[in-house]
Amino acid sequence: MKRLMIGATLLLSLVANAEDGFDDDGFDTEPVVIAVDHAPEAKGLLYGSFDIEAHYNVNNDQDLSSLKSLVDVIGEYKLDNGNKIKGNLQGYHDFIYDLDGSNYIATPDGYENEINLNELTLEGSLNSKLDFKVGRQIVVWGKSDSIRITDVLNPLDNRTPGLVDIKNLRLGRTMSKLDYYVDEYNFSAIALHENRFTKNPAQYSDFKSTPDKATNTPDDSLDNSGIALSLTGAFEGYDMGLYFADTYVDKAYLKGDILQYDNKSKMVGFNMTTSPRWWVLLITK
Amino acid sequence: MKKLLLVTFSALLGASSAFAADQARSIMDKADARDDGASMVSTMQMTLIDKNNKQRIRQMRTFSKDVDANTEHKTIFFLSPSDVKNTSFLTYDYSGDDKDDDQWMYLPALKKTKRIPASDKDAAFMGSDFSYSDMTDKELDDYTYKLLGESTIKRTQGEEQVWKIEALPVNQAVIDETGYTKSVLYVRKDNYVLTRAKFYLKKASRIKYMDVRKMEEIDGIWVAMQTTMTTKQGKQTLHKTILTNSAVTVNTTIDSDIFTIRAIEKGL
Repeated sequence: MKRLMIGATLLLSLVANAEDGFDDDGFDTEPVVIAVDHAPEAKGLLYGSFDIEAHYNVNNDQDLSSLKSLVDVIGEYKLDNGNKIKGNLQGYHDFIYDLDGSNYIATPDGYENEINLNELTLEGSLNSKLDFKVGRQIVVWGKSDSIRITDVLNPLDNRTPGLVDIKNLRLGRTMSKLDYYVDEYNFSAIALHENRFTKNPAQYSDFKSTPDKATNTPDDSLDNSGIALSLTGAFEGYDMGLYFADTYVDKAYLKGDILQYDNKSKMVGFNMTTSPRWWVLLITK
Repeated sequence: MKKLLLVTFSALLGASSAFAADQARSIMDKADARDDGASMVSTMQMTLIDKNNKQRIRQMRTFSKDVDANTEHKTIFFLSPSDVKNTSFLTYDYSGDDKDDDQWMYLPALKKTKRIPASDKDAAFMGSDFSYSDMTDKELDDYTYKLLGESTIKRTQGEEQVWKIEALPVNQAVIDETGYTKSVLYVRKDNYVLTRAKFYLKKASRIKYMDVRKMEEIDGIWVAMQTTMTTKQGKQTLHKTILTNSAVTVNTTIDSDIFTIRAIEKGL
């Protein structure tokens, strides 16, 4: 009987040692030497990126179609009262139009150089439940991934069409935003002061061969201001939101030979994000 | 006689396995019940090392707080470098029932807060070897346990006596959520802290090795000060992440407002 017990113990130990890689556990044993950096606590911070970007078009015999140097600068400053000033300045120069070998017969309007103050805001809290943010800003209206049905407040840089949810896609728009928070709910009210519209491909670019038309856009007067309201909530297992906006439609219609942007529209949208799927419903008038 | 011997042998084996399972579960219960503090604040450095030994360093400020016996809230704010600055992560970690944890990530480049769906929780957290699932506590009942044996881990600070416990997911849903088909856990005998773990990934026969290299007792609470997670294929290291904690305080008062979507969108 004692021999049997020893046999059983041996077998158990064999089962244990048969564990994959158990004899050689695989853990690294060399010492880890890491210098711990501490990010400086500063009231103000300026940071950003410089990128070189090249596009090669395989479809229209233009070969290299863009050779851009891009600068993206972000600044933040925290005031003594806790409010923050934030800004984002973007700019680029496209060297493709400087090259002798370029296949472009003309430079599309606004493609060679650009400086865009995409964001400049003052934000803070009025009390423990009320936040404000004023200035040129980006507000994602609706939280669907990959598609942008309810996301109508900010125009896009759509000169390279079809891109979704990438950095610098949305163009800032001057707004005043108030957020009221209670429990899981957030009520937002926005006054849309600026009427800024999506940048679409221009003539002589890779995506447009027809002549550009004159545009007629509404000015930024008080009469032309828009409003937007939302009620959103984050709950156990799901998020949902109800969205309303009354603003100019970001799509022009042709009247005579002029593209008109004076079509105002009201939209109501609902979105629900739950694991593993999301729903979006949009009603516009 | 031979047959009788075989039956007795099998019965003994079965009894030993059941004992090993009970003992393993008992150890895991104690590890789970260990006091890890009601709240914690720390500055964390995440060092990402690729197979060519190229390093990237990220600094974070982390906050966690027990809301009740079954719920813990955690927030991570990325402080640097600039490409991840203001990115933040919020977790509501539920235990003790079937509720999925809630996780959100604020992406400043998109100005968007994104809910992490359960189907994505085995994905890498901010390019590290840790997954979103690793950022939450595991449900004890999601696994069956077997005591594989005992061992000694030699550290520069001394030796650690550990139990080696195999944890197998109870169903495919747990495998899909964590990305692990099996884990081998090394639990310290003196304080019931998980000091090492091997996670067998469901894809590409890879194994992740978690190793708590430095541990400190702060105000009576054992805190992992340096943890490595290494992804290997065979003996080849594919990627490694080192989390180094500093400026740790435990059981401090933390305003609940910091564990909200409002807070991760505003940043520190």
